[in-house]
Amino acid sequence: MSKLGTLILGDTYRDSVFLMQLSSKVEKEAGVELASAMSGTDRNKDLFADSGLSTEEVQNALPDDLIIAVRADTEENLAKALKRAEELLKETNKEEAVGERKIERLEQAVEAVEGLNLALISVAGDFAKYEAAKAVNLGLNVMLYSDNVPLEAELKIKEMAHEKGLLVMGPDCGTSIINGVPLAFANEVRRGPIGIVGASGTGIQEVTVLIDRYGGGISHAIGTGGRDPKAEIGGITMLDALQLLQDDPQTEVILIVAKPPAKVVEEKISAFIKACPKAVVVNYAGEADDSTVTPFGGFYGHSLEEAAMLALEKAGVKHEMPELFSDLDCAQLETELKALPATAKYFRGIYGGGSLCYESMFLIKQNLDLPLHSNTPLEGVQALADVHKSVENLFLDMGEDEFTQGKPHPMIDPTTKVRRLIEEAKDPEVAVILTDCVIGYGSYEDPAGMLAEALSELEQKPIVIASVCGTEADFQKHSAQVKKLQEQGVHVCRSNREAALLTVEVMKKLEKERA
Amino acid sequence: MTTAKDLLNGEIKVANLGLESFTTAFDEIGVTAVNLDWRPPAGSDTHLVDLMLEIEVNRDKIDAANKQAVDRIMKGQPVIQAVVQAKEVIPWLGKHKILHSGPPVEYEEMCGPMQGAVVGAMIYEGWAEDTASAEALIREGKVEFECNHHYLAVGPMTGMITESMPVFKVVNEAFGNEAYCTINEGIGEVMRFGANGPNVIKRLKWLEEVLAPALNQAIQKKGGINVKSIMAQALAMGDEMHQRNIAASLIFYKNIVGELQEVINGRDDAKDIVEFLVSKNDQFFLNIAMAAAKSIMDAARDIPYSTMVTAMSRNGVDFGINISSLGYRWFTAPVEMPVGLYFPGFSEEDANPDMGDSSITECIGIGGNAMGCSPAVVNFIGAGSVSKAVEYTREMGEITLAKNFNLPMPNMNFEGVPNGFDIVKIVATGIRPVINTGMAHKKAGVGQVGAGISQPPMEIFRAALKAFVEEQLR
Repeated sequence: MSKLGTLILGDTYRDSVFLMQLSSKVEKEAGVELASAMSGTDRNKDLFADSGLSTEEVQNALPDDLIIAVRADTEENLAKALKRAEELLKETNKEEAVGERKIERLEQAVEAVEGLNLALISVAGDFAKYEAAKAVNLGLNVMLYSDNVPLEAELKIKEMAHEKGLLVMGPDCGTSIINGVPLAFANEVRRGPIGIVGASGTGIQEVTVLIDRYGGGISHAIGTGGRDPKAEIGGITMLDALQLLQDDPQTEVILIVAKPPAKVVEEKISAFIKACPKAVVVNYAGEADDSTVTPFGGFYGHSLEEAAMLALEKAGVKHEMPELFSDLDCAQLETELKALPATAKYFRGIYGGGSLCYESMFLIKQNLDLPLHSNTPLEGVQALADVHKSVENLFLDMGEDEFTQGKPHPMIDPTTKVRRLIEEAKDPEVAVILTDCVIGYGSYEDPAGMLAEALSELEQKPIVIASVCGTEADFQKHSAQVKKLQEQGVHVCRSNREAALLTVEVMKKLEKERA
Repeated sequence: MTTAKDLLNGEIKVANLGLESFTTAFDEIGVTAVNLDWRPPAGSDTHLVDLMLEIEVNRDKIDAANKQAVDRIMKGQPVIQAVVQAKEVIPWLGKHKILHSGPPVEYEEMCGPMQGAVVGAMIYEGWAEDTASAEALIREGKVEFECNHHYLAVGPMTGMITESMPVFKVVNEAFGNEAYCTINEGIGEVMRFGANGPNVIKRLKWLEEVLAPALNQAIQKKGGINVKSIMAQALAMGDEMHQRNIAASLIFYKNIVGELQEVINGRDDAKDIVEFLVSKNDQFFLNIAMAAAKSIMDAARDIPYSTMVTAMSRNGVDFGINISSLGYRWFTAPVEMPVGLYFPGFSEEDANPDMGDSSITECIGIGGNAMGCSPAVVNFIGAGSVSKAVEYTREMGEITLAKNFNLPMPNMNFEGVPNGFDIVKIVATGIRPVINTGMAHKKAGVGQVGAGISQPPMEIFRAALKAFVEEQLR
């Protein structure tokens, strides 16, 4: 019979990543079966209950209490684990005690740093909306990484910012680069004349990385948050950002990456393209129709890669795109295809980057006539009933809420994503696995290494196709990440698009083979 | 004020709230960034945070209202114009009518010391002979109670004001409004701590019949005394003017010494009068400071959209506050026990919960707010250390709207005292006002048993914030 114990610390706060690290350290203690550290909000109390860690003390805790709950095999190990948890908390207390007066609030930060002009907010959405509104009132631009911000709050905050000439990037904005400074998840890319406005995080990462790889550079990349182009928000940030780039002397070419905006917003963007003296390139993810762009004098890219190449061309950067698949070992692919067991017939796309997942789904749906499933379905794709159970051909965006409750995003810590990918690889019905590997600031220190190690333990595996979104200058280094994957037989493509199209080719060949 | 354009063209300077790993990039490429020791606002209460978001959405008009409110505090010019009988300036007073400190409370609900003081006031006025006859009148419903704040008045501890009592009449010359407070009785067995024996009544009669007329004549000769300039000088001499008033009391005397001499010269009671003012009562000035503070704060009332606290007051049972935009509506909750030091022979078990209107002084920025400039008060109230006292003053800066440069603190680089408590800041930060207070014995009439720090319960600020959003913003 295992023992359950809790530690409740009044009025104590630590960020969620710290707490997750703390619980995983405590879980490594002898005899510990499960450990969890969270604040005492109602939402978290439910999570404690779900994982069987709830006690009366947990249920009675206050919202600003810090709760550490541990299940261990014996009373002795339980006591040791709780003691360890307390020590781990104190370690940081010591650090905090040294040094200057603490800066706890934005008002204090504004006073302490002259010329402060941006708040980067990644606290829980319940509080993030308030902090963002306060930041705007303090005269700060905002990059709002947090999600779970209600639509009406987003609208209010953006209206306030617009009135004051400030920019609110987000909520749920994963990537921006302002004047060469990466915010949240971003890659180390060359400076240059291409300015980007993007309603998607990994979408921005993919185009900036490709522009960099083929010799171009970025002036700014402004994230808007995924909901900005919806009718309810009316593209407030997107339109403000476009105007800023039009007025920006560093920017010569403007590139827009987003899911198709609401009609009212799309019309405004069309009008902007028409009036803008600078070249405007657009990619609306999952949209084949270019009639709101090309007739207005803009240039339409049908994928992130195509849009990046068009932007390079308009910026006058000479580059040569290799033929599709020309860098890949096609003979090896044929061999692997032939070696697949007779049961293998499906592909599984396991993604950490939402926009990359979306683009692949679109490209594959366009080119393959197969039933598709996803937890983030496009039109014509079936919604997955149980995200923990795979069926047929599947796209999983593991950055979605159902996978990140109480756990870090797969780009920060790919453990859960890799575990799922290996499960799929062991499934005898799986022929192809398609995945992404996003590096850069904010991302895990060695995502390819973690995947490669897991793959190396498999005796038999399906065809694995991937692309690495990153640059040579990123601290994980693009070529090093590619090499680690290639050593495990992964077919690493130059872009997300190429990876999706390669999957199409393989699936077509497999169909022929089976027929 | 920066704009997005400045962000794109200039140097980016970042405040990071949340995931610390996002600052790695800033460290590597040398971007100016500050990583906040962030913690959830409003004690993680998401409902309150939703209300605070509404406040941020309306920030411009709230800021304008609060600026007007706090400017009114800082522009206040309290002048003592006279010492008069309470009934002359508070027409409501009369037979069987009693004003008390704090938010409204009925006799049955009052704490021991306040009930003792009520009986004392009735004996003093000649409405009753003893406790039994006083309580009989009350039981018959013949005695009416109201709170001081509703009649432009304030009183320390039990805060009794009845018709014959002398009061300081202070006029806020910047806005023309008046405020009143009784004369401080001195130490020992006194009515403000609930005593009602013959000595207490005798002293009150002496105040009424001897001291008050003499003081009034001297003040008339002087043509009024500016209270704010006394406050500024006393701050420089180490008084915070709630628990320490020794310098301020002497400066007050200095202001009328010549005139008073002319009034009482050659009289038999001259020595008593001078001794009472100068050597027997170090807290003499407190009541003047309170009347002045009340006159200042009343001028900041009734400003729509203002979230500033206009009164903090305790009746020994409940702590109550008023908010500028919400008029005389009281937000109350059970008052806490002060924390501090006890005189020899007393302990926490002897103490009565916090009491009195004197926390009006903190509203204008003196008392607890000015503790950092009053090193000598630190030991008296058990604040721990001088640096802790400075920290208190800094913290009060976090929850107030402005620093009053008319009341500078010399040891803190002549920074003005932090004044104008803002309920939004209090709720957001979880920092509560700090009140320097005396502690009464819970048994009527024993007197003061110690001094310390008391704090209003957080829930009254939360309740006021909810009411503000519902009534002013929707």
